[in-house]
Amino acid sequence: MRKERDMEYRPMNDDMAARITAFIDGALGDEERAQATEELQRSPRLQRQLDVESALVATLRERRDRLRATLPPTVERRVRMAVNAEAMPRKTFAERYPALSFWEWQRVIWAASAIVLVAVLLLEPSALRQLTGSGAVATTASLDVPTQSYANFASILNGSLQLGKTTTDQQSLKAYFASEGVDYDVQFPAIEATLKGGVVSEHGGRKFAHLVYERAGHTIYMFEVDQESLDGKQADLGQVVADDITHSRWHWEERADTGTLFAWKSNNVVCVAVSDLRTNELSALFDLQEL
Amino acid sequence: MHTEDIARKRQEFEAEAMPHMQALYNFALRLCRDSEDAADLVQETFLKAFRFFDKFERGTNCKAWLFRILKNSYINRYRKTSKEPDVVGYDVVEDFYETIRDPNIAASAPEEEVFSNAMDDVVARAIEELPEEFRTVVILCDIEEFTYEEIADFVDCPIGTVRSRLHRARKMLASRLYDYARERGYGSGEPAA
Repeated sequence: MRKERDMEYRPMNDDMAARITAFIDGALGDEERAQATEELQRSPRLQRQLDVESALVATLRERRDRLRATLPPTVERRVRMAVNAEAMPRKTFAERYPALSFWEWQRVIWAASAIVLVAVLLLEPSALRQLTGSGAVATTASLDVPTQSYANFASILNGSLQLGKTTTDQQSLKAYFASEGVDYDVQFPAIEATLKGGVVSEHGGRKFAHLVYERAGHTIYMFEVDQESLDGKQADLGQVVADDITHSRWHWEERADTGTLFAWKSNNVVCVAVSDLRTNELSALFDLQEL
Repeated sequence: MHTEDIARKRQEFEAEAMPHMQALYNFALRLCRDSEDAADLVQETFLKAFRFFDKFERGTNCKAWLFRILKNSYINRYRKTSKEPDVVGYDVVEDFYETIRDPNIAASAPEEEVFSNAMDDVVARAIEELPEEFRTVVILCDIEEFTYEEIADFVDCPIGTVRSRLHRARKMLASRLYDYARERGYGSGEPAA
């Protein structure tokens, strides 16, 4: 059947036809262009190809912009944030403070430590018990939870912050947090995303739980802080976030090229989630009534 | 790398590479046929491009460079899992230019009219339905304005193959749009037997 059709139609030489395609695109050299022009004069078939293909090409090029799929703003935002995270400088100690030698720095560190120690003992005698009792490092400054959450999110994206435990199982992650010294009830919110794992940080002698979820290629990072640490000033939410949680249950904010932040309180634990998703997309993942 | 160098690199990357995100996404979507996969592919492409931006030869075509990274990422990530190569249904349209010589069609529906009457989504779908190797050359040439040399470099084949593939791709596309025109009643004639 195929053979019969070939005989009947005598299809055009594919090389000649392909040359007409290149002729239309202006992609022929002088010699081939002259050959193509000659062939076109001789062959009605090639002339027909020229007419049809030229019309098609004109249609495609004229509609070029409309034929392109629209780039969703969420994708653009996500790519930009990933590149920004990648571009975040990772300075070495020497790069940060190039002016001082090692021994000069030793002196600075000893002097600063002595000042901090005296100040702590004067202002808060109970800190002595923390320093000697638990062996944890005591710091005087409160942890700025929203700022730290954005920074941690960027670090997770660029790989400089790794998960301490990778698991999709809540119970196993709970056990990990407990074994690492997190002494409050870590919350696992109702969220339509896959749990990837968690990591523990320490500040002011307190251990804090961090969770990471993923949904369709988007990372949702969560920093959990217990009320006791907020009351004890080891961690601070900032006035706006704290007020929003108190008066309207939760706090939402979007920062260009940084992410969306969502904070709420659940069973005496404040949870702060950061993601590259927009507010409406991130909120859609949570069962807000259950939080 | 010092902070100033990173900032300069970021700035240059923003100016050179970022404007091509739309084109890359469009191409990724046509390749993957899934918006999430396409988004992942574009993100991976830009991250790799940023990491290796020092290797990009200034003054050359950044868009073509990004497309090459995207293609390699696509092959690494997605093609490994593909089961079957696309089936090329070229036989169906081999004699297209001969079979549309029906005077009824020519008289009642000149080419310009046949193609210009097709809705954008019909044209987009017709492109999407092309087998991958043909879809690729049409998008690169007619939508993204790559030269034959750049396409040859991208698909890793001689320029003669690009010509031939493009010729066949357009013929298949034209054939599909003619079918659409017939369905809509623009041409009354059947292909000549």
